[in-house]
Formats: sequence, C-alpha cells, structure tokens
Amino acid sequence: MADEKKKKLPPKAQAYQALQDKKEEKRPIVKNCMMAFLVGGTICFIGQIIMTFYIHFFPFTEQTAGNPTTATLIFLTMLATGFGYYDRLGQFAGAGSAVPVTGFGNAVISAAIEHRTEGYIIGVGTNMFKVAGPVIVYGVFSAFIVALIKTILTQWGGM
Amino acid sequence: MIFFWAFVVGGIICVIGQLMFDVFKLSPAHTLTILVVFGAILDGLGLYEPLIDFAGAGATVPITSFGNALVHGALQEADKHGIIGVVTGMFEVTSAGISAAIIFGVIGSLLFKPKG
Amino acid sequence: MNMTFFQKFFLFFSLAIVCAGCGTDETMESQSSLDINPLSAKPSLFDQSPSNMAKESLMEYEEITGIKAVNSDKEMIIAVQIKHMKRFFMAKHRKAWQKEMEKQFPGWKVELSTDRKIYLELDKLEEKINKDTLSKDELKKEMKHIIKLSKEQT
Repeated sequence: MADEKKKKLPPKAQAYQALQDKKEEKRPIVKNCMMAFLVGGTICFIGQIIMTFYIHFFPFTEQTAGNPTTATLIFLTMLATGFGYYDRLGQFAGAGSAVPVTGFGNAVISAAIEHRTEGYIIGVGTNMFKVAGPVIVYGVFSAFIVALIKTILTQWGGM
Repeated sequence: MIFFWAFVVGGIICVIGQLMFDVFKLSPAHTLTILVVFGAILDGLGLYEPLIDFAGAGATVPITSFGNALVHGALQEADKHGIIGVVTGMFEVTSAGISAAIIFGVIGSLLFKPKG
Repeated sequence: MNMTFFQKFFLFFSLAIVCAGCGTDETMESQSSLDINPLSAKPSLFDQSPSNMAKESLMEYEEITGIKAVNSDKEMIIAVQIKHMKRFFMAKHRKAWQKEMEKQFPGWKVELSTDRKIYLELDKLEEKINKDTLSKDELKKEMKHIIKLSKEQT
C-alpha cells in the first residue's frame, strides 16, 4: 500500500523517497524480539508470583486472583513510572514493556503525570486516555461483535 | 511449571507485539488495540480460557486478556438474560485493569513531578 | 554486542528461569506417587468412605496427580490436580469427571474442582478430619464455605 502511494509521486519525490528508505535506520528485528520476549516473559513471571501469593495466603481462587494481581501490578507500575524506570525499560524492551497490562498502566499513568501542569480536569483527565482510549473502545466493540455472533450461533445451534 | 509457561507464553505474546512494531510499523496504540481484539476473538473461539489454564499469568497479564474478559462478561450475561446481555454484561467480569490504571494515574499525577 | 546493565540482568534472569523450568519438567515426570490419602474419620463424624471411593475411581486417570475429597451426609467436594502439560484441556476433563462422579453417587450433591485454592482448602480440611478436631456442624460449615469459594467468578 505504501509502495502504491510512492509510485504516484513525481519522479524527484520518488528518488528522495528511495534515498530516505536507504538512509533510514534498519531496525534490529531479531534483537528487539529477543528483548521483548525476555522482558515480557519476566513481567508475566512476576505476575505469576503475585498471583500464586494471593492464592496461597488470601481467599482468592485461580478464577478470582487475576483482579488483585492486575491491581498490584499497576500499582507497582505507578512507582516505576513515577521514578522514571519504566521509560528506561521501554527503551530497550519495546513491546516487552508495552504489551503487558503494566504497559497499559504506564501509558495512562505517564500521560497523567506529564500533563498535570495543564490542570487536573483538562490536562490529566483528557490525556490519560490517549492510548487507553482506542484499547477500551475497540476492545468493547470487538467483544460485542464476537459475543453477538457466538450467542446467535449457539441459539441457532440449540434450535 | 506454571511459572515457566507463564514466562514463555507471556514472552511469545510480547514478541507478536514487537513484530507489529517492527515489521508492520504500527504504533503502540494500534498494536495494543489489535491485540485486545485478538484476545476477544480467541475467547469467542473458546481458546483463551484453556490458554489461561495452561499458562496462568502468561495469559492474564498481557493486554489480550482484556479482550477475553470483555467477551466473557458479555457471554455470561447473555446466558442469563438473553441477547441484550451482550451489551449490558461487558464490564461485569473485568474492571480491575481500567480502574487501577485510572486510580493510580490520578494518584501518580498528584505524587510525581513530570520529567524534563 | 554492547549491552546495558539492565539488558544483561534480564538475559541472566531469563536464562535462570528457563533452566528452572526445564529442571522441574524432569522431576515432575519421574514422580509417580499420587498425592492422595484415604480418610479415616471417627464415628462421631460423617463416614468418609464415599470420598475414598471417589478417590479410588479417579485414581485410574493417568493425568491426575492428586485428589482431595471430603463428604458430609449428602454433599461431596472433590478437588483434583492434573499434570501441567494436560492443563490445556482441563475444562473438558473437569466436566467429564464431574458427570462421572454424579453418576457414581446418585442423590448426592457432588462438586468437582480443578482449582488450586480449592485443593489447598480441602487439604487443610482433610487434615482437620484426620486429627478429629471438627464436629459435624463445623464440617458442614467448612464445606459450604469451600463450595461457595469454588463458585466465585470474579
């Protein structure tokens, strides 16, 4: 799709685009994936430790321990974000720090911290949802479609 | 054992996210959104819950589990109250991630100073 | 390859986890002893032989690594742990075993769970029964509490 756009440009612009592509820093995909795997896996590993802790020492079952685990992880994320560690982690971990729920928490919390100078209602309130917004909107909408399809199929199947 | 698989499965989901960053040149917002939708679809197919049984936090910690939880809530409510439940039941099973992010976001903005 | 301290730490930590995972794999496979103990309750309490019978039947399945079961006069709770690699199909097994137990004990209210918490709670309850520190009412109360726990969704 990007190639078609490029072909529509006048020849000088095309030449420039070709030069830009050559000069653009190649991403070390394998190294990035390795770091994403390691960091993401570690965060989930820590999550598992927290979950096991809640199951053994509190009245949570495997079904219900997910919620306090998520809340605890996001609390820890707040500390890591506030002291600047999460951003440093994000620099070399890429998706490894963005994909776990801690990454979601970081996106919300770091936006809140960054924009507090603009006021709490507008600055913090609106910017918190820059990344979280699409996630919630399309999460809900796609869940609606999936659940609708599944419910209709099972009802037809039942009849 | 579950610790090992939590690590591996969580890592794999993050690698999928990383490939979206590097190969498809998507932004974090795009990637996370696609992963949530992916989680919702997997639960519709009945594959996400077995993954959680097998990998524990490796499946509940990545953002994909949010899609799974939404579909779960919707289906549960639809079971009880008919098709309208698909709309009303969405957030029955999950709110921990969003609530915690919002609450600690506000607390964070009160406690911490933005970095230059 | 130039790595920061963070990166080296993560690499080392992750390798350690992988090695640990591979290690437990072998020991789990060689462990053939099942974690089940037949209960013997004093006559003042409910007779636990239905629970022991349930354990005998379920023992046949090779996926199962541990069974805990407790019964009152009309309710039975069974908690089962299975080999980790089989956990992907845990829900299917649980439904099948629940049906089988309901067939084996008609008229009883049978609850079968694969949840680790229920397993831990039943383990504690079994110990209390063996040590004879419970009355009939207390046993019923504990069982009710455990059944409620197993039904929780969030």
